[in-house]
Amino acid sequence: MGRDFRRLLQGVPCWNRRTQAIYEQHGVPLHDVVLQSRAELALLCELIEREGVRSYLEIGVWTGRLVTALHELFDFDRVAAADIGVVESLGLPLRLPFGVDFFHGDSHSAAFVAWRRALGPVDLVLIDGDHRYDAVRADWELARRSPCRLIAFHDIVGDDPGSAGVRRLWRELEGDKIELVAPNDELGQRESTMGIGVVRGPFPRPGDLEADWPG
Amino acid sequence: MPAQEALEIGLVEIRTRDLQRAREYYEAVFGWTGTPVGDGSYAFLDTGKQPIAALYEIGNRDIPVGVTPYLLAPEIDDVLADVAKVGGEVLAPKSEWGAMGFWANTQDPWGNGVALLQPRSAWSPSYRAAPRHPIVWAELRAPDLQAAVRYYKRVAGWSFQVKPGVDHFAFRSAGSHPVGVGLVGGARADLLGQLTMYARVDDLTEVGERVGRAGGSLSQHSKTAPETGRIRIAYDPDGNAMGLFEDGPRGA
Repeated sequence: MGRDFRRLLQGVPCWNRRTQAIYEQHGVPLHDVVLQSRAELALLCELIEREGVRSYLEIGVWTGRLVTALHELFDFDRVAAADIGVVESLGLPLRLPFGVDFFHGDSHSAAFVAWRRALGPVDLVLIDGDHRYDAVRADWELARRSPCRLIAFHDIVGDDPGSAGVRRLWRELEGDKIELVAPNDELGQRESTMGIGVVRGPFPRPGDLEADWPG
Repeated sequence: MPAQEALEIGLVEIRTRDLQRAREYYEAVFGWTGTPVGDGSYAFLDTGKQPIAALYEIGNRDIPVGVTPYLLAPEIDDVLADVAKVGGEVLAPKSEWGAMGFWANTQDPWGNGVALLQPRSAWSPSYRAAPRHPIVWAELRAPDLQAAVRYYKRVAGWSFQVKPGVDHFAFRSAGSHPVGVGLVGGARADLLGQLTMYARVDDLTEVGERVGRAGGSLSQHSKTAPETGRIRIAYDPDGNAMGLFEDGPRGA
């Protein structure tokens, strides 16, 4: 029997009514929480456990709560993160797990490409950075050309205009896709407005040549 | 391997040469009321929130005063086995502690004393007071930061965080746990004399004044804790340090 991730995540602050209110007021969730529904985060944890994920890369970490919570739960052999560090300019703290391999910069830069190449194989990559279509598409293109088993996206469902780019890309992607979707209890939802989508690899697939690397 | 269940600090024991004087000091400064137990050399202090505090009067001058946090351990034997494997020292083996359960005392490779308490049943002190100046933070010397992170991962199941660009400090956030933990590494570790617990105060200036009136003393200046607020160290009449931590605008 697997671990009860709902219980284990109880102490982890996730997207709640206050976050929602701040987001509706400012258009940015200026709140130091995991920007995920707790119910969907629990589903992601179940997948991580089921798939035996031992290395993890998160692109777009906000304040670092998610990568920290996952590393606490799974004690990954290797944990990496990339972020432009926007929260610091918004007055929120950025904290990361001890031992993290951190790229502080733009995930679409040549420097990131070099960093990602040096990082080597990763079991799971979570893309949760810039949600505009071109940006998330670029993150996907980089991710799928790098050695990894699973690539996940946040915000694949709902009708938030800010996530339209992710939803469009998710619809376009082909392959073995898993949707982790559950209403956010803390918002009293009946339907999810976020959702996590996971594409199963392995990556790179045949034909994804190194020469195709953007950047 | 999934991470083990983390051990939390349930009790903070303060050793004193004069229990009555110490009781009066901690009640006057922090509002923690004391309840003597046993032969009168021990008293629990009601902080209103985990961890509870306690005073232990030590007559034997060979035993120094000091402050020791107790980790709540489901099985002390398992923790002691881990302590031995990763270079720590067992200062006192597992022993009975009356109705409380069992205890043991350890020291990490950097001299921080951390005790263990295996309660007989679920740890649920009956707090009579609302939380007043709860103990929220522990700061430990860790000259070899990497090794200390590995040590406490193994012994206590703690995971640590860092701030990008800060290489001398690893922390376990206070927000998600009863007590946050900071490991001070590198050369800065030498500036930290002893393991220091911190209590959250509403008004550092006001509590600082109470320290003086109650017979304690204060570190010379307050410091700004990264991101979070102001801190100052209060010394009780025995010389035991208790940090005072005042939230900044962002909170802990």
